Amino acid sequence: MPNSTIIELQRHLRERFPEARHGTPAPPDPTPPAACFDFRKPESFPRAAITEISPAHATSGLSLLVAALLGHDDPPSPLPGIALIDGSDQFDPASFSASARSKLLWARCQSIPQTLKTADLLLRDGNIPLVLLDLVSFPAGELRKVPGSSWYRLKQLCETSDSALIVLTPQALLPCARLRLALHSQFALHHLDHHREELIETLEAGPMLERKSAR
Amino acid sequence: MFAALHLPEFAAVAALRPFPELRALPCAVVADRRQTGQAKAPLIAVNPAAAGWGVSPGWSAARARSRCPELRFVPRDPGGESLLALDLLQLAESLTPDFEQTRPDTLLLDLTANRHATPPGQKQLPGLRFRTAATPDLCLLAILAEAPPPRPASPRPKAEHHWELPDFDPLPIAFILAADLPGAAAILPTLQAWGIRTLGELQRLPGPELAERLGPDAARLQRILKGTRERPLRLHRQSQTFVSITHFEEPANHLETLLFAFKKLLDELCKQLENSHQSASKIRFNLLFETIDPLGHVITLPEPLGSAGSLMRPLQAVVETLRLAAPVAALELELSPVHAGGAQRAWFGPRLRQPQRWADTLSHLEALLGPGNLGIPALENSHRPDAFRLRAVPGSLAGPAPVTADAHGHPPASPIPLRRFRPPLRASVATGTEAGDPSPRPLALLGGPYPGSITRCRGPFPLSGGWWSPTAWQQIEWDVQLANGQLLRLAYRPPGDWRIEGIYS
Repeated sequence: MPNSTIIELQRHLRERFPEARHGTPAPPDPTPPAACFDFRKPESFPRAAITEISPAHATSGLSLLVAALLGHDDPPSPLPGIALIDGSDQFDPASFSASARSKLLWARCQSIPQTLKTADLLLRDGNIPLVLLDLVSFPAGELRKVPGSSWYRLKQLCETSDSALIVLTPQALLPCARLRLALHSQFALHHLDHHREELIETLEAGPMLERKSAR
Repeated sequence: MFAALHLPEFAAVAALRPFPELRALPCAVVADRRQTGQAKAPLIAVNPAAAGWGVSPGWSAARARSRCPELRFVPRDPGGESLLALDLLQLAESLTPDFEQTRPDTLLLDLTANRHATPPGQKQLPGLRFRTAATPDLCLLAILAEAPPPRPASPRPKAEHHWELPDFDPLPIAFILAADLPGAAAILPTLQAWGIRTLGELQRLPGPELAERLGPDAARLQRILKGTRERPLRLHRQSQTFVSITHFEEPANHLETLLFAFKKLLDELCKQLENSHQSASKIRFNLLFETIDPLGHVITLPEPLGSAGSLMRPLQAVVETLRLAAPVAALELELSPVHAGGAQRAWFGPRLRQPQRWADTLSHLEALLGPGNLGIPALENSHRPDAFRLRAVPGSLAGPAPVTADAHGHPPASPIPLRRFRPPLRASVATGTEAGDPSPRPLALLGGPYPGSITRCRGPFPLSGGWWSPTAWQQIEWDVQLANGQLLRLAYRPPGDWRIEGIYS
């Protein structure tokens, strides 16, 4: 474990003489606390990498995360900016505002292989900067049967196309996710009387694991 | 120096061209009722003989006939108008290569390099007007304002043109609308409210004060009237066609043969495109068969493309999906040319990173997922649960999709989005009733994928629709929380059908 004095000294030197580090990669930023993670900003998720998000409870707000990414009051978009690969065709258009729907390219899939092929095509294309892969409804056992090479292939495509891939899984199982989040929020029936923006504010993610390099 | 060519009563001249014997008789062109949608179609144009009787365009046929009993009505001839417009263009090309087709009956010519251009004779196009001025807009105003010229009895006019400012005093202020001057419609009511009745009065208003009160449009309008505003002409260029056709010696019945022929035609057309510094915005092809009717298809490209390789990809994606009933005897390929990069890209709006791939990817996704499984979700104009449609994605081969308002612009009903089961899951529900409420209240889910007692519920939410049609529907919805914390939406359809519509996750 590095000495905290050395880390403090390095930070001080980096701030004092930034030109001395020119050309060398900056150290990864310290992992932000879970409460600081803003789900409403797609740029919060690492580009050219896979992010895996799993629910900790039955009602952790995974659908709210999709709603946060799509926004609510923005003007309608002429082009879709987010692709949702809906593994088991459970997306409900009526639960989202018209402007949110206009930003979404919805691919309705029926099986895991079809879902992965769709992700492959969209990431290879590279025109959609953020791809959401919803696998929550599939049993974790079936998802574990997916060869690891398939996930590495998607990871490479993300790096090539500079797109962000967010995979929603029932539990953590991706071997090459750069960022892995677990949603800890727990919503009850009385939350259906709240405003959506208030609920999005209460979304909690953690523990957060940032890998320096994917295997 | 600029000149204007104008052919008054264009529609009448075109319609009467095939009938020279009618020219001396009063005639009027009537609008097509199917196009105007009016029961009494108005007159579009009248010839000089009818104008001599006082008949004007815009009158009803009955009014015109009461004014001139000998008036003959002629139907509009769109084909003749196209030919007449072509003749007018050829006449302009004989004077200068640089001209603007402002309207089908009016051309503005740049005579800067050809000051000694001879005005066209009346033999070519009788009634044609020719007027020179210092600026294009002044030409347009002057030629629209002037009365029909007398029959030329004198020798041809001098070749060197001298122009003078037209007299705008007799022209009413509303003439700026007829001349289609920029910004005129917005400021006309204010000018009329000020008591400005003629163009001459507008011309004499103090310029700086006018600009200060009415803005730059008014200042521009006044500069046009004073002949001090110049603008470049929107030069007319004859459109080029990029069409190629090939006939097979033996009818082609293999995909590879068709693709090979398409590639060959594309190579040829792309060289022509490259030579003219243009790109293709659309690909149109026709497959001709020996025994059955031809099959045509149009591919709208998301962005202009110029190379044969990039054009071949969407073409191949479409051709591979075709199921043909007969061998192909010939194929015709046409590219719609555009100037690539002529349009400014949106700075702040979303745009595709690699538009050349987009249509190709979408067609592959359509093939993978099946029809109706890919698109931008939009709601139907109905309260029926799960009533939605998928809009075509902009840039797809199905054609551009306009950004239209959704049927439901209101916010979503539930703050937590539902994950909807398609189809809804049947459930066995233990129910009870409350005093004063006839609808059953769910107490527990007895089986299925989500068994358990219901600890809290929210509802009932009765929904119904289509009562006027055979597909009438009604259901009562409940949001329930199970003992294990799961949130579900239940739907009850009388007399005893319970379903789980979805889960709030």
